[in-house]
Amino acid sequence: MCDPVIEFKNVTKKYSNYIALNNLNLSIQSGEIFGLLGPNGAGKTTIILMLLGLSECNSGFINICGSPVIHRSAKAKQLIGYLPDNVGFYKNLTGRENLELICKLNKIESGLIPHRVETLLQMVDMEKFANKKTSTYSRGMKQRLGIAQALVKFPKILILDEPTLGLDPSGVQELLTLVKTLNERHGITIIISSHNLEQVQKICHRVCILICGKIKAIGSLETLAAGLGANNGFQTFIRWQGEINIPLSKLSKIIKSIEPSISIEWGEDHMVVNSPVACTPSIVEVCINNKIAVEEVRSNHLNLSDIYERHLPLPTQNL
Amino acid sequence: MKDISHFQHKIYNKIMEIKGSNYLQDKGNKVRSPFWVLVEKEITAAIHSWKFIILTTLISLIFIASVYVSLESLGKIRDLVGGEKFHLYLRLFTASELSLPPFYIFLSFLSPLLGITLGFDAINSERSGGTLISLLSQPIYRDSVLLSKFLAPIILIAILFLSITFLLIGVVILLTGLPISPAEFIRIFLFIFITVLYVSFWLGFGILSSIIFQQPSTSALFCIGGWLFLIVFYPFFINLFIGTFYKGLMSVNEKEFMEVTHNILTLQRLSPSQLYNDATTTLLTPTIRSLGPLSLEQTYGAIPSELSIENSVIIVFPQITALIAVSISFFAFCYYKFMRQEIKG
Repeated sequence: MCDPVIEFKNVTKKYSNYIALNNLNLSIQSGEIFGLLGPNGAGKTTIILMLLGLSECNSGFINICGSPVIHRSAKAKQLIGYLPDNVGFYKNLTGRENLELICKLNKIESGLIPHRVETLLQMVDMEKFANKKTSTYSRGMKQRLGIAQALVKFPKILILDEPTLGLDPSGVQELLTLVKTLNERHGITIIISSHNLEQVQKICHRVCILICGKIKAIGSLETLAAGLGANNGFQTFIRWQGEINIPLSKLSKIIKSIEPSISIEWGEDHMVVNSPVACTPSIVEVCINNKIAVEEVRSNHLNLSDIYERHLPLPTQNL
Repeated sequence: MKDISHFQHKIYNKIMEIKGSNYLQDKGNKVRSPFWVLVEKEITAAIHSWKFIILTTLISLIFIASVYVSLESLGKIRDLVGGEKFHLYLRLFTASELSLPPFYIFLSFLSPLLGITLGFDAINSERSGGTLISLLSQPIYRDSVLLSKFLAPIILIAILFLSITFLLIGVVILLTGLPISPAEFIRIFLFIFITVLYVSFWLGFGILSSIIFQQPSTSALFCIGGWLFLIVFYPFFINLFIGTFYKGLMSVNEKEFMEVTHNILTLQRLSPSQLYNDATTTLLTPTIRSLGPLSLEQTYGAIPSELSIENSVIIVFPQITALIAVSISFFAFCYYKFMRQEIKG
């Protein structure tokens, strides 16, 4: 594996007068799950299209595994599996035939195609519908087949554009698990472009917030939170109702077992836990396990949604 | 997405197996070029499309009707030509009753429609259906997609025309017992070649329209407009234009009349349909010795015999090269537009 696997250097892209990417410098490491975030028109899709060699930059260059994308796009595309946000299939073909076509385009030996298609169909739970024409598929079914299509070539890099769109809640959970498995077990670098920040937060190692073609923030959730001034430790405030049946010293010991450097300030009906790492859910779990009637939980811990909102430009008040 | 880890494990075991077997270097014809996979896909899609089925049925029905009428009228023509050389198989394409025009005239109207039908939604339907981006994200070259959109219909049309022609020859041999001469066969083969070229021009026009316009309906309207203009309005405008400049056409001398007629023909030959008509008429009628007006001096002393294939080809050579050039030009323009177009998800 090459490191970094994707590199954008001083990339600028203009569509007549509109600047889609403005002197973008971005590097994605091998084996990470990377989230591309931003409002519509921020340049997320432009980045993806450039990686696939479908859009050319006006200046700068893009490397995939050390090789430039321009003039070698077919080679770059051998490494990339892509699920577009509006995935389409040939309506006159069945799901299985669509996958077989993609296999052939990827120069997979004809003898191996049936087995590979079958395995992928099973993976996305589409065996039952595989012999039906794709014109009869629902949005969720198309999305599942699209994921199978993106995995046909066993890519080193997987790009998912709004992957959970149209999936039912269990489908979303299964997809997120699949993404994690692909990354952890097989070292696939995954790029996710999504507006669903909760899902991105669950699986991404690093995220990049793009606004008007420029990177506003990039890094892990902790780094981004630190960048916004939430780096002076994490504070959790918990208030309860009624009496606590467990001695405070014992409860204190249990909470400290989560993180030894935790300090606790006790009040009459509340406690304030200061910690160098985010551990609010674990503290709440301890309280519930010890039958404490938790009434209020507050934390200075920023989630991705908070971080994203803080980076977004304020809407112009013209009403 | 059940038992994900199990299947993932299976898949990636398979990767290692495949990579170990060096499968891409396998020369056992098991791995095909993606370009031919695309051509096969296009041919399959076209064969199954209703628009192609309807047009093919229409052409086949007209072909059968024309041949039937030709066979019926052959007796009369045979009596008229008397002892002259009688080209039975060429007459099948050119002979007609007044009620039904000959087959080659029908083709000059229907070939553009066939080309337009196969090309007007070639790119924009893929774009609007979301398949273009999926296709182009595979390790194939963008020009392979365009070339397959062009080549597949041409293969299909060539097979269609060759099939119905060979079927006709076979049926007539069975009915009359007369063999086809090599000269007739070559002329018919050249006729098919020129028809395929003519369809290629309209196919290129349709594909270009499908690249420029996002909506298939707009593209279809544009193509029909172009077809109507070149087939119906262009000759009309030429006559109107010439009529305006040469008001007293009937009173001019022979030299001026020849010049005017020559100018009219030159302008008309800017239209591919005129080139097609010139080329096919000359090839299917060996007695045609010239495609322009002839003065009395020019005809004086000429032997009223038929032309050999070589001579007929020499006469229509400019038409054939012009048709090839215009088809290639349209494809080149399609290529330029498509390769420079932004593909959006």
